[in-house]
Amino acid sequence: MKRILALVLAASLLLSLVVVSAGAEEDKKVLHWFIGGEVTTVDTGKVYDTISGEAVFLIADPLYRLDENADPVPNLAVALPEISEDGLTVTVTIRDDAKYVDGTPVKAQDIVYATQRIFDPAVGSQNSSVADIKNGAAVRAGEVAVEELGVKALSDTVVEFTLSGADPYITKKLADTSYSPIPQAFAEAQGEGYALSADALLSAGPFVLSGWTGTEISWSYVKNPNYWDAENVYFDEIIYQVVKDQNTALNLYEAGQIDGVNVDSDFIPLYEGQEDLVKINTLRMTNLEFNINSLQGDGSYTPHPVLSNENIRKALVYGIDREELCSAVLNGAAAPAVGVIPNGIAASPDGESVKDSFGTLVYTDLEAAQEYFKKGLEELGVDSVELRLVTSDTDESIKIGTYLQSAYQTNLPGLTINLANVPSSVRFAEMMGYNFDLALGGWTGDYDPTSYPNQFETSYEHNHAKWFSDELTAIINALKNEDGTDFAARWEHLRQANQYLVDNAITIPLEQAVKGYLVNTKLQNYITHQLGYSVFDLSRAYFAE
Amino acid sequence: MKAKRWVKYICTRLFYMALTLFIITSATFFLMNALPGTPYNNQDRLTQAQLDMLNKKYGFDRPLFERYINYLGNVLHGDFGVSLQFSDQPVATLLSQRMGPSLQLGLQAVLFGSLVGVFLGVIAAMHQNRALDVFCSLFAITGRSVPNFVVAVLLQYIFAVTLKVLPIGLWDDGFRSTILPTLALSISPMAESCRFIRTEMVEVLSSDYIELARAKGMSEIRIAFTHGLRNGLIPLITVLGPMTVSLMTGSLVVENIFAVPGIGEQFTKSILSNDYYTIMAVTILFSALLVVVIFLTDILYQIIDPRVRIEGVQ
Repeated sequence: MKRILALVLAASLLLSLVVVSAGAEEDKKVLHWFIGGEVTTVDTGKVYDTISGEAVFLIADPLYRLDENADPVPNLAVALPEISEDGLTVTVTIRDDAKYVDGTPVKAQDIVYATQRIFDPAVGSQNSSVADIKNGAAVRAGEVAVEELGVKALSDTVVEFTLSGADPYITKKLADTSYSPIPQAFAEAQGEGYALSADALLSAGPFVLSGWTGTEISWSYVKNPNYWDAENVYFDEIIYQVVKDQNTALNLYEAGQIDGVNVDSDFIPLYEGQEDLVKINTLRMTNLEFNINSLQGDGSYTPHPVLSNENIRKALVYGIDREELCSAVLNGAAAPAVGVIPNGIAASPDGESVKDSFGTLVYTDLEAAQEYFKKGLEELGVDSVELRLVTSDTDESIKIGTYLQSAYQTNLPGLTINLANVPSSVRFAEMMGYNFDLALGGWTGDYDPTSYPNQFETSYEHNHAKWFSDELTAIINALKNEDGTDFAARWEHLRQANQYLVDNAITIPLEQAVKGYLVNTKLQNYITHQLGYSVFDLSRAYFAE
Repeated sequence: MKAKRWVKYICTRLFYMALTLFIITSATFFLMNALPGTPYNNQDRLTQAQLDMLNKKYGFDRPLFERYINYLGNVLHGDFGVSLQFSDQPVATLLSQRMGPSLQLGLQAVLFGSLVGVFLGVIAAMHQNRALDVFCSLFAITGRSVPNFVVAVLLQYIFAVTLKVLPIGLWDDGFRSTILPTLALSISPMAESCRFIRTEMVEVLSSDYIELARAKGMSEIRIAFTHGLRNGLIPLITVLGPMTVSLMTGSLVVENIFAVPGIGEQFTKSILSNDYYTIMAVTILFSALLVVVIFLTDILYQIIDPRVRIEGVQ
């Protein structure tokens, strides 16, 4: 009898434990989020793509964060930076109450160390969107020691950046997670193994990475109790799940197992008009790129037999319907390009958008296109031309490529486009060989609009067209070295660069990407980014009761 | 004497296996380096200085032959390099973390698929040219021709989305998470085994010794499973070996559809992204598995079929 009683008691105890733990589980505030691929790195100094950007966003504690209007607001910094009159010295004071997960205080020296790591050749960061810090390029090239980089700690809470040129967008750039503190002693103790697993990482952000050892397809972020703003962090845990198949991801979302998921252009029409469909107008440009001067085996450049002809290039610029491409082919997952500089990146000194201030420079004009094409053929002395269009072999690139091929061949009789869908690395190798006809390329710059026209500047390695122009170089140099914080002069030079590139038909701006997401309608207070390595800022998000 | 010959045979085979692996490794190394592009994900934005810096860091600025010798030396010391797609994680970590789920799914699929397939094949052969045979053959043809990702999506839709009895995907529900991917992967070995067993058994079941067994009054089921099956299994072993390897090394689509953290995608992904050391490690792993399985299959032949005799072993 005693035995039975003991058994019953034990069983009820176990049962109550289960009930209690289930109750605790229910009280825990958990967000389930989607990510498109495995983490490429959780080292804030090495972040270079949207996956790593998302992966570090919740654990990083950058100096600034961007608000819903993409304006920088103090985060680890106590206020916006003090910028010297010449714009070259940027002084940031950080909070004195910030701590790492283990309770160690965050110091200005940790920002210095983190910044040095972005440029240190021994670390080998692929991050290419970096602030133009003094000696940055020389440090990367191994020409000067990393200590020579233009960043130093003036005290435990004050860090000073010295720039190569005045940069009016520096505060936005400092909102990048790359400038989050890294404790030097800890990182050096980990050596090569630093940030290769959750245990080999010491972060100071709102969440702590948990359960990640390198190649998982699921991991979580647990609320950091030591975070200086922990009281405004709602979720106890945010679980990330890699789902690569779009159907599966949508099935999981619809079954309520994931609260936010990306939607490809093919699936957007299914959810159009629904409250939970969130569209983000990004600043990612898709361009159809030309090669204008082709690299020869001996290192010299010769004009491309067809595309060095300006009229042929102009025919291609005006002979395409961007509205149709964006609505019918990409199902609204894109907006027609207005020029080389994307609409929405910045406002003019009068508050006008790029579109309103610079105008829609690229549009459809079939009559003019056909006229240009006819003239071009006459100048070349031929009746027809054949061009090869190389695109990546992703679904979207193939769709755009096929559309361009069919539209151009219809709109410009005498033009034959041969399509080559190849792996991205092959497409890119062809473009960097500076010897191709047409290539479907793209560009995501940084918050300084100069980063867009800059890609066509003579000396820039990603000037795939190999268009050599002193005029454009002069405008870019003015933007980089002379304009500084004179926004009126800057805007004027941006206008000139944009106009120059369209007038000379150096590239064909096609569209600006729109990203589609399905987000649980209960989720509030999250911020979306148009640019940069992370799309969502979920750090202060919460579920509406 | 016999044992000595066996030892000699096995040693010779092991030597050829090592030679095969060496040739595959070397050929892959040089072919892979002929691929266009760089192994860096962010290659379309890197500056030349950054590219030089990275090449120096990873040793890609060294002459190809020097890198080859270094690589072979490192592999012999158990160092397979780092993956550039996975934040400089050692490739060995990547493989060890990812092999488990693929191995489990592959073995479950081969086991389940071949057992059911053999059973269906025997049933079909026993009912040659009758309704059951037509049904089994139809199943085999369908299984062979329908790609497994179609089966995977259908299974997911029926059992997870509509009936809600099994998880949609993700690897977080223990054995339940493995059921649908296993079923999707098992269709191919199932169809293959069914087809092979049926063809072989039809022939075997009409031979004289089976007639004798029948004349002695043995039941059809006993005849089929005890006398017929052993002979029918031989050709199946030939195909099942390589199929097991291909299933154990994962399936890109099935793993993606069910969000399984397997190795399936890594081979394709590493080639597309020029992730040199991952390409090498995965190739070495897959080839090693294949040569070992082929070797084991040959040994198995000797045991199952007394007629097969290797040279030198009587």
